[in-house]
Amino acid sequence: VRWTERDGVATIAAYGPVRDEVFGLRRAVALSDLSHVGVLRVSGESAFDVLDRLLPCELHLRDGQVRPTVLLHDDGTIAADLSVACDDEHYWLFAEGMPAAALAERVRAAGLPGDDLAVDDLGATHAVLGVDGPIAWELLGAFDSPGIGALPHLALARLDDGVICLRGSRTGEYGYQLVVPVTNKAAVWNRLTTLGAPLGLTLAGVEALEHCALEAGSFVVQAEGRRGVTPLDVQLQWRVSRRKTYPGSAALAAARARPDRRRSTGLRGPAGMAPGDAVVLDDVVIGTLLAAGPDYGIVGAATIGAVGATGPVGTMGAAGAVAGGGGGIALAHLDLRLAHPGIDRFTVRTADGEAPVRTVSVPFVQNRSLYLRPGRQRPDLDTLPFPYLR
Amino acid sequence: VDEIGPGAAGTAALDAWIARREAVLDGVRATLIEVLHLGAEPDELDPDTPLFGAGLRLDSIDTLDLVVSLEARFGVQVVEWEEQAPGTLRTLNTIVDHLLAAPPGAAT
Repeated sequence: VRWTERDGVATIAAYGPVRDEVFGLRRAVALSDLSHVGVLRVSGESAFDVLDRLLPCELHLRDGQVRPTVLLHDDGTIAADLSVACDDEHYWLFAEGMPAAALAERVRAAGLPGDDLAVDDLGATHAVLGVDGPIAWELLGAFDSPGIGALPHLALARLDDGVICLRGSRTGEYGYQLVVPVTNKAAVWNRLTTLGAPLGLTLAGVEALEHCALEAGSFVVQAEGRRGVTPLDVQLQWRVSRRKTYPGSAALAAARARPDRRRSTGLRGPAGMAPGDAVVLDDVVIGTLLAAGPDYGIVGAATIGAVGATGPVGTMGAAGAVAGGGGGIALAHLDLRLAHPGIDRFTVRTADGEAPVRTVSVPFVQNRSLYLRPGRQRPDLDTLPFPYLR
Repeated sequence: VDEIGPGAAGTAALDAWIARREAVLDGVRATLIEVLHLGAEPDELDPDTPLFGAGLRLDSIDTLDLVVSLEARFGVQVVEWEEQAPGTLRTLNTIVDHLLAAPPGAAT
């Protein structure tokens, strides 16, 4: 196990080779310890008004509904990646990119004198576990009930023993976050690993989850979110409203009018690409890389067999041949006029030299989850198309 | 996907290709705004916005309306994309990719 730090919390970076964890998640299901994810419970008569002043999304939510949004600095840059949910008693905030205590202070500071507001940081009393993968619903169904596996996307439900389940994933696969009382964490973890073993459960650290998010074209606050970007830069306008005022809204309005705007765009290129590398057209710098990682892509393969000792690449089923791997994928921040997929006139200046790249549409993968529906009999995993087809 | 590659000469070819891609993207944005009754400005719809799950949160009825409207606007058989390659309707950009890859004259 290799450890790292996220939002001031020690968390597991990887249990082994990141590639194996990525392939395990993409193939079947992965379990993760998400101790760094902050969970706040916001209560009181003024909870809606306070959160509505602070958050950039429209906050009219049905009971059990979840909405992804962000928290902005006054200059419009992203401070935290948030999901906000409500049930009949509280609002819930799930946060990455900012320590929960700091987020709680931002929420309290948005209150006005006389507001009825209670903000509880559940960090000391609860843990967060993640279950992601094309058959994550099957594991959740075995853990609780088949109905919970079929929980709608971006919905929240209460399970037995004080467990709260949020369905939502950045990996492009089925995904669930379980908020578990710390007193039950070990028991829940052990039960999930026991139930998941026959399903091919993999343990995945945050590096595999963040790589899967990059592959899926999802925002990663620990990567591009650390480079001072606004929702306009990283194509997250769907998470913010133009029809309300909130911290950062004036800066976003000004940014929309700027002629020198940039926008994120997917790239495929050499393996050595790294955040901060310059993107060049005819010797003119037209952007920089916001995030980068290895390309585990398999080109021309229809199916893949079980993950073998040498790792998934090279362990193909009978129907395909391995041609991918060795390159890199990246998210580039390009001059708006040039921020389009389908161009291979650009180069990237890496530590190893200048190399040609090709802009592509995200996501970089074709998820197996597209081929499966909770509650329906699923085919054998080894006969399903493997995701890396693009 | 139709691409502008190193064999294409000069910036004029690149500019022309980008103009063609933006024209198709504008058509996709207009279709989505009309079909979903979004009440949004076109530039609010980022090209990589997810269509399902998060993002625009299309449901099955929206999808049917979108497919019919795209077929009418661009003269292509969108429904065949999903049959042959599930997931091609994932973002505005993936729709544009497939429209540009359609037979010449189908997406102009």
